[in-house]
Amino acid sequence: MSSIQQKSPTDFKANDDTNNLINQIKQAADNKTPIRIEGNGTKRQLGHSINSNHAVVSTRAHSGIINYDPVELVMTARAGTTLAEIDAVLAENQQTLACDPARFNGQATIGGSLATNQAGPSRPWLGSLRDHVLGVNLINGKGEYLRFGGKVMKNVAGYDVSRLQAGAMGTLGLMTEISVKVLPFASASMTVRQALSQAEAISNMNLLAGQPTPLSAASWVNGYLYLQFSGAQSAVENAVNSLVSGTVNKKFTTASRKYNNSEILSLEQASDFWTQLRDQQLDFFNNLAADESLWRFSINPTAWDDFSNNVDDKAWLADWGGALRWLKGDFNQEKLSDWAQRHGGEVTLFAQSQKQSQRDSQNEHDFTGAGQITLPPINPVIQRIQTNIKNSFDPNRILNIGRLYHWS
Amino acid sequence: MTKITPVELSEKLTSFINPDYVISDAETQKVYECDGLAAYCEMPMLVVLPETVEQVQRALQLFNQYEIPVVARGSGTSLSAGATPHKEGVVLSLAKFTNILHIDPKARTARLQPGVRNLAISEAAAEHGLYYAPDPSSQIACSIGGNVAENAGGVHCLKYGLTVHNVLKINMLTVEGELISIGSEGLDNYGMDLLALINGSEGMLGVITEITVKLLPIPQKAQVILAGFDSVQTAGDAVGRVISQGIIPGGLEMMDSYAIKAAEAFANAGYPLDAQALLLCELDGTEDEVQANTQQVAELFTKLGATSVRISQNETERALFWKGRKSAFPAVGRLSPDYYCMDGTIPRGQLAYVLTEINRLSKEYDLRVANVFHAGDGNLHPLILFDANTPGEFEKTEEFGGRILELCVEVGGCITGEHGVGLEKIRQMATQFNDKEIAQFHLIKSAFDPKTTLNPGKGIPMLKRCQEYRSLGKYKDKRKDCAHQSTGENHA
Ligand SMILES: Cc1cc2nc3c(=O)[nH]c(=O)nc-3n(C[C@H](O)[C@H](O)[C@H](O)COP(=O)(O)OP(=O)(O)OC[C@H]3O[C@@H](n4cnc5c(N)ncnc54)[C@H](O)[C@@H]3O)c2cc1C
Ligand SMILES: Cc1cc2nc3c(=O)[nH]c(=O)nc-3n(C[C@H](O)[C@H](O)[C@H](O)COP(=O)(O)OP(=O)(O)OC[C@H]3O[C@@H](n4cnc5c(N)ncnc54)[C@H](O)[C@@H]3O)c2cc1C
Repeated sequence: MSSIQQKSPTDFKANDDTNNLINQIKQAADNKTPIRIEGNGTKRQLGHSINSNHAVVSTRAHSGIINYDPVELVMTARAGTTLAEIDAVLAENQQTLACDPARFNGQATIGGSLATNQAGPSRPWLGSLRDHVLGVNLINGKGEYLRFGGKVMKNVAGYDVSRLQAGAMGTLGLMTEISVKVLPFASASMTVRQALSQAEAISNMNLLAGQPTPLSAASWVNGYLYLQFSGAQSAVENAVNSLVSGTVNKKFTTASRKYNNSEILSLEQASDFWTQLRDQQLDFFNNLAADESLWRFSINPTAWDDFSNNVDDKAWLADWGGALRWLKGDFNQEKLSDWAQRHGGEVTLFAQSQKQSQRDSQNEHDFTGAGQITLPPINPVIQRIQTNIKNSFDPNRILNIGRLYHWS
Repeated sequence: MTKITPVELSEKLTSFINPDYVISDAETQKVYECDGLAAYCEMPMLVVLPETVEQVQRALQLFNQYEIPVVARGSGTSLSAGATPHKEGVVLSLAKFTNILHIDPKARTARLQPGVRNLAISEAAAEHGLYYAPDPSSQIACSIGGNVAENAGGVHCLKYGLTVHNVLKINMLTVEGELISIGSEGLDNYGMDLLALINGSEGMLGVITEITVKLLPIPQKAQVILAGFDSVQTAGDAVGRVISQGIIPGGLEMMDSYAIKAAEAFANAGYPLDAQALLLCELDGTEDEVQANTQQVAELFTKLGATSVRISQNETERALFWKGRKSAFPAVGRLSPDYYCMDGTIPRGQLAYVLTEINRLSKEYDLRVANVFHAGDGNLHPLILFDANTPGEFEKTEEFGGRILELCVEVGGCITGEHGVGLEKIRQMATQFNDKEIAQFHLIKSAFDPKTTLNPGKGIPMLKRCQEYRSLGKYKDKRKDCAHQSTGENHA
């Protein structure tokens, strides 16, 4: 591994738009005119769409890495910096983000990614941006410029406002700077693919996750279980060997090889697969029939019962070692919601078919606008607390109104 | 609002809580007067130890009705006076809630009552080959509820994360006694991440009544390298070099010569007494991986000038190597009538500068300091030795401690990495945050606790106090990277 090159801040492309952003929000607050915060606008099905009359405040002109110290494993970037740009700079030092959020053709910004808390297939093992954010600077709905957290790994002074931004979708403030933890590249990575039913895959993924292996992603797609192992080369090879029953010669290679029902993917095949899964480019996500909706379950990873058994495997995709399930088809929302709750989690309607849309419009669901989604039911006490929090950051109610919930 | 006397309150409580567990006599209350930071004492109005969630709920409803301050208490090991009683308030102890409700080996989770001791989780999970990763040095005593409230860390947090990274779900009673559930058995949920707010909230946002944590598979193997160095600087550089090799150790701890001597006298762990700094580097994973990494790190330490390098040869020796570190606080405590533990975090690269400054301050205040350091993640624990019986010495110690925390902020760090603010660091909050940020914290608190009766006076300082603190003159805005701070002020 090459030695680490410390860069000075002047090495980075500087594009500081903070004052302009503060001014725009301050003005909106003074005039009580709602605004929409936008990174690169790659968001789609997520959340509610916002009234398009609301003016856009864009972080696009606010980009560039501000500070990157490879030895401290910390990087600070302006919110409008794309993950692609960050990846490129980190890669020069054989480092990477400590988790693997969706890149969306390199367009996703670090601000938008944290605001939506995107996480790729390695979520159970590497965590999400929420786990690795160390600090944020943000402009709240009063136009106040505030700093929370910091650039150090541990910090428990005050409430954790940085992590609170993860998933808040910009309803609490416009983040201008974000510090995150980074990590060295794993020295080796191998992916094994096994032909299995979903039921077998769910069971195997959970068993494997309970054993000390360098497992770093486990997903079931279209009749195959994909297992990724990353870490020290010997550990990765051993894990793969024991999976394909010791038939692999010990040497780690980049070519693909087949054994009984297992196949070791070539590095390129593996990388393509995981990228496409992470960025939702697989056919599963894109070939929705006219009457098919797409649901996303965040649930107990072991969830399996008659319901899952009775729906054709083709309608399912299981990610995050079983903790994330995608389901497409024509289903009754209440039934899915019950199923999610029975398995300790929740379901969101991610992409809605026309049929579903007509049905929902007769129901009391929480949705608005064009990018309609149906949300998990919310406890009234939690709704009250979230409303209070929203009002504490944005008393004039100008930031991304209706984005998270119709009442937020 | 009508006032209620302690006797009346006690009567109301005993109507639904075992009278033995409603404590109003001073003698029995005495054990609750402080937490692990004994310099802060206060006698409460009442101590109550409910046995069921319903009892906690009814008690909270009662306290809310009369606006009585409530201090939740786990095991009372907080080092920031977070669990110190309020003199007009009630200590709500969760000590009766010690049941492990369920371990799900397949999903790798444990559902726990808040009073379960940290170590008890791993002990119970062991039969399934699993363990709970965050391991504060106080793990034989501290409770999981207290861990969540403080977002506790431990020596293995560098690799496996803090409490916040290992908690999936909590049940919590609001100040009004409403039971809510935050998080889920899945990994991420739609909406604001309230779970992140509750971790580290120091009993100020609600009373945690149940916690679901993640369990991890016990690594096949773990090995510790014990390396002595002739300077803190060299040891500090070695830490950076290990990590930049792409190796993330399970734990990476450092002690200075004073702490080495104290720990060795206490634990007989075989620490090199002539070293100026000691690194303990634990590597864990599969057999082959550990073997390869241990070799690599040991060679690196030698190359970087380590004066001694030892590798644990078996589990007993590994435990022994850790014993010195894990008992460092009480060990240092034996050298002096009292010690005061600080908890700042700094960028690792600033270590040599910060330790030099601490030594300078140590001379200035004429107080000895031993340093124990979660070196991998930059969390520094200077232990200031003092004698509380010498008039004025605690005040002097506190002032010295405050200067250390300001120093941490000055180099880009923070005033507390894992012990929390509590009563102790409330003044230094004004060093790390400006008034607008502190005002935002108060607003977050009101979102949960509009009458501010949950652990009042802790964690977040009154704005008036911040101004007083800053006007003492010792304070100047030393925060690094304050480029836009003035802008923020102008616009606000
Ligand atoms: C094919 C496809 C599939 C997708 N699937 C998913 C999915 O499964 N799950 C998911 O969560 N997302 C999904 N998205 C959305 C996307 O992941 C994220 O929105 C995107 O990564 C964020 O980057 P962005 O810069 O484009 O942000 P934008 O799309 O511009 O913004 C995303 C959200 O974050 C807010 N925001 C942006 N910048 C800031 C800031 N600086 N401060 C505060 N708030 C800010 C915006 O107001 C908006 O609410 C998908 C997008 C595409 C194109
Ligand atoms: C020798 C020693 C070593 C230590 N080492 C470490 C270490 O390595 N890492 C570390 O992080 N800490 C360490 N600590 C500090 C302390 O052990 C931790 O902060 C621990 O998490 C406190 O747990 P507790 O159960 O003792 O909580 P308590 O001290 O009882 O309470 C701490 C705070 O949590 C709140 N609280 C407690 N229970 C609840 C609940 N159920 N609901 C809501 N609020 C609650 C209290 O109100 C208080 O604010 C150490 C302490 C000692 C004495």
